[in-house]
Amino acid sequence: MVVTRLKLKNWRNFREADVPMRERTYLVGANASGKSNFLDVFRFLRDVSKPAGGGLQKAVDDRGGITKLRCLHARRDPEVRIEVHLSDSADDATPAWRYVLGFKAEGKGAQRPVVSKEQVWRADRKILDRPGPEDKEDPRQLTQTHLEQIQTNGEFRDVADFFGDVTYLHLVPQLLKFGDRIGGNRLENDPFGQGFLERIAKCSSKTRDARLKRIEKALSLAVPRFKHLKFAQDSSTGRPHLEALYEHHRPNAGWQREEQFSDGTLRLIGLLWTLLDGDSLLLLEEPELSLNSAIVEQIPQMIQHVQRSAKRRRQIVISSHSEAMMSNQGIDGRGVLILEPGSDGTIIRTLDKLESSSLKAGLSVAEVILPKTRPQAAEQLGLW
Amino acid sequence: MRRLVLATEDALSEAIGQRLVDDTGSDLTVTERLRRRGFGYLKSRIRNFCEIARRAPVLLLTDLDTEECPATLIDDWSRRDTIPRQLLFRVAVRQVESWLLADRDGMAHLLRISVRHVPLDPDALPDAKRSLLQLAKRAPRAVREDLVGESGSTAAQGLGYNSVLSNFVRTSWDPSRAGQQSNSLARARRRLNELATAS
Repeated sequence: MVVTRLKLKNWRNFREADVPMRERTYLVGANASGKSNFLDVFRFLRDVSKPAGGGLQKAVDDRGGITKLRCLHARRDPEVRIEVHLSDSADDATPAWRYVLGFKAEGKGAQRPVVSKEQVWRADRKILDRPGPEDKEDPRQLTQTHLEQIQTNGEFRDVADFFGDVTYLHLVPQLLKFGDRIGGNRLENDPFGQGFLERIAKCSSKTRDARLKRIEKALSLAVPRFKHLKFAQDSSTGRPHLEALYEHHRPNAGWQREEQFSDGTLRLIGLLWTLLDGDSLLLLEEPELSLNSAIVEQIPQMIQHVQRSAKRRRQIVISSHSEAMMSNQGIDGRGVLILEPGSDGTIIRTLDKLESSSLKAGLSVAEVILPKTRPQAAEQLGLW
Repeated sequence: MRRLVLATEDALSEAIGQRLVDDTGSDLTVTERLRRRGFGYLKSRIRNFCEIARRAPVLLLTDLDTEECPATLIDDWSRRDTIPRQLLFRVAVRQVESWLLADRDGMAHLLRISVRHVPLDPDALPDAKRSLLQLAKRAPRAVREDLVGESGSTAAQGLGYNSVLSNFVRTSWDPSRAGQQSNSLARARRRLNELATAS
């Protein structure tokens, strides 16, 4: 299943948004235009849907409460609302599912978030509509969504599972390399990849070997002198490690552990592993970081190949600033979302007619769209 | 080893230039690859290339596109200055894609189509790239999606256009067979061979 459309109201820096999404969706925009906030919609729905330790209260609380979530540009309307359409293909005329969640502060006491609207449509049929009679009888029920409760989401379990499986990756190499010295504090769901090696360790050895083989092949093309990659468990501590062998002028230079890998190598391994791992919605935050532009240029095609070879096509949403990545003339403009900050919050839009026809004429997103995301006064920064 | 500077407008042309140099079987070795997106860079740097060509051979590869003929393009770029002997200014008529199509058997094999569909006189095609993309629509899904893209896409080509064709150039393209169909390629190969054998 893929998200085919997203509607937002008062979500962080978006006062109003309504955009289509495709199997590969690219988010482009200036710094602080809200690319991460856009991705956070799906992480939020995952946190709400999580079977263990999730739920609306926790998801809102983890984000600093409703006052932090609600758009600063929201006028009188106190409600934050998210609407997601899901379908098997981005080209389906009617979505297979629609899920709507509206919530606002309770208006008294601890200002807990309460559900102001929760609706589910299966194709054209509405199968959930809250607040309902039970909610009126027992208003405390509105502190929980039906999405987060196994007893109540049975009819739309597919939707709950879809959100619950959302994967986000923004691997920070330093956290992995210096994990021991920085200390073990980890956020839930490990967004920054501190537990990346444990994730690899948990995988069955057969799958792990097959994936590492494929990653090894990519690394041997991307990283000079790189030869082999393997998984190893420390014999004394039992801790999982990745080890690489490089062609070296000293023949017995030996295997290097992940703390000796370059940042780019680690980011690339993280990216490739995550692409191969699972079939859920994947959110990639600036996958270009630390990577050579020749590698970055290939990311869109690598993603396409992974999608094609998988049993179930997973949807991938990518935020990027990268000229190199967006210079691939094959990027489908229908999957590009442009974030434009304005005085009334950020507007998200798709390509207009002129922009689409420029792409059809053979120009790239990097040429047509990226210049519009450049801050106008950026050249003045040099005079700082 | 004699160092050679290769100046091209895109990844595909670079792969072609590299292959042509390798095929001379001489001590010419591409050590500098100069490339920014598009021909504007090549045109704006033509004087620099002339300068470099006094020290090392330069192979400059560009598309004729809609220009009338290679001679007018070269005149226009060089502003009628003399091009040094060591600067091989080669123009593909009308795009480098015609040089790929010129290897009809190789192209038919890449696209898994019958060779009779591949045009006979590729240098006469007004838009060789478009012709190649049209042909690729007949290819099996994996190749088609890489080259042409998915149906309904706003993109003019697939995500793998450059990588699939560059790989074709490196592994299975036969420039000598292609030279029999494309005059502009045959001439480029001849000039390169002259350079390779000159001391």
